[in-house]
Amino acid sequence: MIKNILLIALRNLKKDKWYSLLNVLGLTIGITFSLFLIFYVTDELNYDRYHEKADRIYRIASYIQERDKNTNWPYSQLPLASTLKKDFPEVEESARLLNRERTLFKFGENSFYETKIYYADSTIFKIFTYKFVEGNAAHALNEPNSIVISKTLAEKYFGRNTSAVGKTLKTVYDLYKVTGVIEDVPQNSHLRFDMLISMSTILKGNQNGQDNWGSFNNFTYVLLKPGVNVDAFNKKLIPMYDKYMAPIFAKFNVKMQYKTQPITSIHLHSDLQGEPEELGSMSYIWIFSAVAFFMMLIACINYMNLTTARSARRAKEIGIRKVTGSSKKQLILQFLGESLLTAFIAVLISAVLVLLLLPFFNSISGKAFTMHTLMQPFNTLLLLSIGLFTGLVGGSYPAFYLSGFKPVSILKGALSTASGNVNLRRTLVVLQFSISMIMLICTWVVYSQLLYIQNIDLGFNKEQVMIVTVNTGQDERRKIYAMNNEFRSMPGIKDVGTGNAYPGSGNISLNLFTVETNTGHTDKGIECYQIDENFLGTLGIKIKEGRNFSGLADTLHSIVVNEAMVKHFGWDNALGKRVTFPGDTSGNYVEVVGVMKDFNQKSLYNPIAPLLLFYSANNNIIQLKMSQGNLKATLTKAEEIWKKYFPQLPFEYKFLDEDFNSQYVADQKRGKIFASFSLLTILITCLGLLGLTAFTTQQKQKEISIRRVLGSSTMEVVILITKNYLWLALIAALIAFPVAYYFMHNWLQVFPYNNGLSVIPFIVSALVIVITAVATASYHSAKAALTKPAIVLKTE
Amino acid sequence: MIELKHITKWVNSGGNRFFLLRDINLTVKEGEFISIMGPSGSGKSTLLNVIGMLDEFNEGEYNFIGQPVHQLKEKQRSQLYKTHIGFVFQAYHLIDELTVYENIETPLLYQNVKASERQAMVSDILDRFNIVGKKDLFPPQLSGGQQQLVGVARALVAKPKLILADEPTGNLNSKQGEEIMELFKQLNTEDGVTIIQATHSERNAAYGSKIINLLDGRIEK
Repeated sequence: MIKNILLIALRNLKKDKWYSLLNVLGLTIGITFSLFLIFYVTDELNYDRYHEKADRIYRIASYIQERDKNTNWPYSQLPLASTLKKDFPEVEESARLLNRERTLFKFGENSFYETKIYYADSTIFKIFTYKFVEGNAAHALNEPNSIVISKTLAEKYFGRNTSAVGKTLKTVYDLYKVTGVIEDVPQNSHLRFDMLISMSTILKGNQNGQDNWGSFNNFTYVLLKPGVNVDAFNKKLIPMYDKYMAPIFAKFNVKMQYKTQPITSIHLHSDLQGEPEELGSMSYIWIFSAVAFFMMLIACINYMNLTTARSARRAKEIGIRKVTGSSKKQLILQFLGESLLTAFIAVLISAVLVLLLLPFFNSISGKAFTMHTLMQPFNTLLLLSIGLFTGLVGGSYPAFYLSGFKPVSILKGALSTASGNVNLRRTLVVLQFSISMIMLICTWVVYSQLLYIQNIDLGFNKEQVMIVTVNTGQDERRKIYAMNNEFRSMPGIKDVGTGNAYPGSGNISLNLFTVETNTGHTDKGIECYQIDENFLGTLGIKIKEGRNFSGLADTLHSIVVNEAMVKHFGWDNALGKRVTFPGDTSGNYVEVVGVMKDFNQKSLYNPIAPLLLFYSANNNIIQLKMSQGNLKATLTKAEEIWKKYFPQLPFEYKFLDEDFNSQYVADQKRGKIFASFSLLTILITCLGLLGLTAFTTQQKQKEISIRRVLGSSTMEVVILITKNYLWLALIAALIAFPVAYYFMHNWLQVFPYNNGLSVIPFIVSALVIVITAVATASYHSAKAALTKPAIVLKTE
Repeated sequence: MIELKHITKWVNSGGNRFFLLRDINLTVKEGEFISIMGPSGSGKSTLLNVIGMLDEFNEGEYNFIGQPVHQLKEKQRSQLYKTHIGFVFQAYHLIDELTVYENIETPLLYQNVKASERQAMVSDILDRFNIVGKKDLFPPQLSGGQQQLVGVARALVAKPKLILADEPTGNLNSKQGEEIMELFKQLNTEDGVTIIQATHSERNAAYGSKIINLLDGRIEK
């Protein structure tokens, strides 16, 4: 029996190759890309879950309230970790991680800049699960100048298959002994590092830091004992403010509170500023899950539609089988068997495709899936269940529908038009059209918004600007001064400015200032950094009022502010307004000498905030404005000059435009995924449509032929058939428009700078679907209309 | 074997009732060869379908080998016709995707006959109908006469008591038609299979032992 079912299923697949191809292709595309999305989503949901004690690990975040501003940070103070362990019996273990700036490390001839470095307490390995390849977790970070490095890093410096433990890495000033090698920190971690340096290294000469409750620089993690009530624990943390921080903060009217964050929720749920890694977003998890589901659904709908539309061809077989004694159950089994077979063929091809397309998907999604990470029992199970799902969902309707045929009526030929399920088929088509339209509109809006924020006038000119950073940890002003003079005289360089930050660089500080207003004074945290007199000119930032810095004379008392600052304090005349440092009683002040036009210091996710710039000459971040032309020659020459002054440091540069736009990378990545997938969804819909129109026009062949005999023109026939699909597309538009509007309207709210929702994406998306529908339908109906009526009517 | 009492069947269409069969009374004994004749639309096929339990009737009683068909449930009815009746159609109605061998084997599959037994039964009938050489061909590769031969073979393979044939020669030329009728005759006389056929042709009807004339759903006396 089963052999018979499989046999006829295979023969049917082979017999109608075009039809089978459509079915398998549609299902394959649907399954392949749904799989990718499922992998993506499960990976996002599994962040940090690989730690054995993941459910008991929390990060302590600081919620700081100033008078007119709240700052919520993942950072806390150095003394917190040990205090928590001492004061609270709930805390089983605590540890700190403190970021270290980019550093050059050397081993023999090998020297590299490392960026993912943290100072860590030795207790870190009691909390997190990092697998040691070499060395011993228990005392790896006990001694000063001990480091634990990742396996990749070990291979980079010391080569493969050699022991790294005991070897020494050099920086410009220091020596570090490798005491452990761990497996690379998994990609799905909220915090990743290549190197951990023992905390005692940095604290040995700096005992002050140990009890300074005023600066927030490090991450604090705690491992709570099993069964601890986290809400109660959070409440117990509140009095810490009075005990430890009030003496420092109360006079500035600053309050703060600690809150625990489960580490497993950081990636998707944290809303704090200054996270160590790019965060995910729960809304994208929902969107991608929905897209995966809809893709699979559309593929199943295609299968259902094609199979039932084609039922006329199978009707005879069903009739005969019934007459020769088949029961309804046996027929249902047969058709489910066929759809399961089709689904599993698609699943098999998909599995191969997934592996082939993996590099492509990794590159657009920023994930690092490998064959190894995907070959898990869970995924095999996933494949099996997807096969079962598509096979059963796609096959159930045809199975029940077809097996319900009455043998007499089929064998009499009454069912050759198989029209009973027309309405259901129409509903399914409308559903497909709507989903495609929604996805098309969303893709369009997301893309045009991303394009818009990349081309918007930022208030500074980011083109042709190269950023070079001098990072030796020492005062290099003299050298920078001399080097910049050489840069200036070099062909290809138009202007050279310096600062300790620049637009788009994350590391600007927020300081508390006392600001003169029209009515008195007010305290406020304001973002500020230092620039020289060439900075504004190099970046094309315009002065609106007053003057730019003119040189060293501005060092002590001059500041330049932006329009947003003027507006925030309601200054009638900004020039000459004074700003002092809270608590400073020496009478020092700075005075506004110029107001610059607003520019976007941060990404366009943020509105422009008040900004205050100090003067400082020869800062360590150098901006080089280049003229159009030979970039390679300019780079070569610039490197030559650099090597003259900093022979020990490699010449590394960034371009301002790329650097600034990198802030949108996360959204661009997701935008790309979304776009590729909505295009695929549309492709699947088109495939289904192609097959469906082919079969339905085939069914209408008799009607068409009779009309032709009665004198209808080809054109009239085409219009008659096409009209139906036009209606379906219009109904789909009515459903799709409000849904797409709702989602996109909400999405755009994230951007203070958005170009709103235009009608164009809506109209064009609807048109694309209408045209696709009409084109395929009219192609097939024209073909049907052009067939000689005599041939058709004779065989009827 | 078959006993039809006051069988009436109608369809409602636009408020009117059209009678397809009116008060049919018919008794068929085992071993008979009956030809039903009548013009198009007289109800020949409907009557055959009712006898074959493929179609229902609105009034009357139908007993088949002592079983009251009108009282049976769908499942029991299909069990009954599946084991006792073989069908032959004007348009052959073979499954195009199956080979000759597999087509003939199909009814046995649905009666859960064991594989070895199936093979023996199918080989037997292939042999008897002289179509062993064609067993691996697909129906579209055969002529009409050969297809109908396969159709008859399929109807016979499960050794039914009754064969119902609806215009079995309607699509065949006269020579092919004659061969099929000869086969029926032989089956009837040598194997004792009961046969009911519907036909247009006087000549074919003459092969039967009894002729029933239908007109507008009634048996003409």
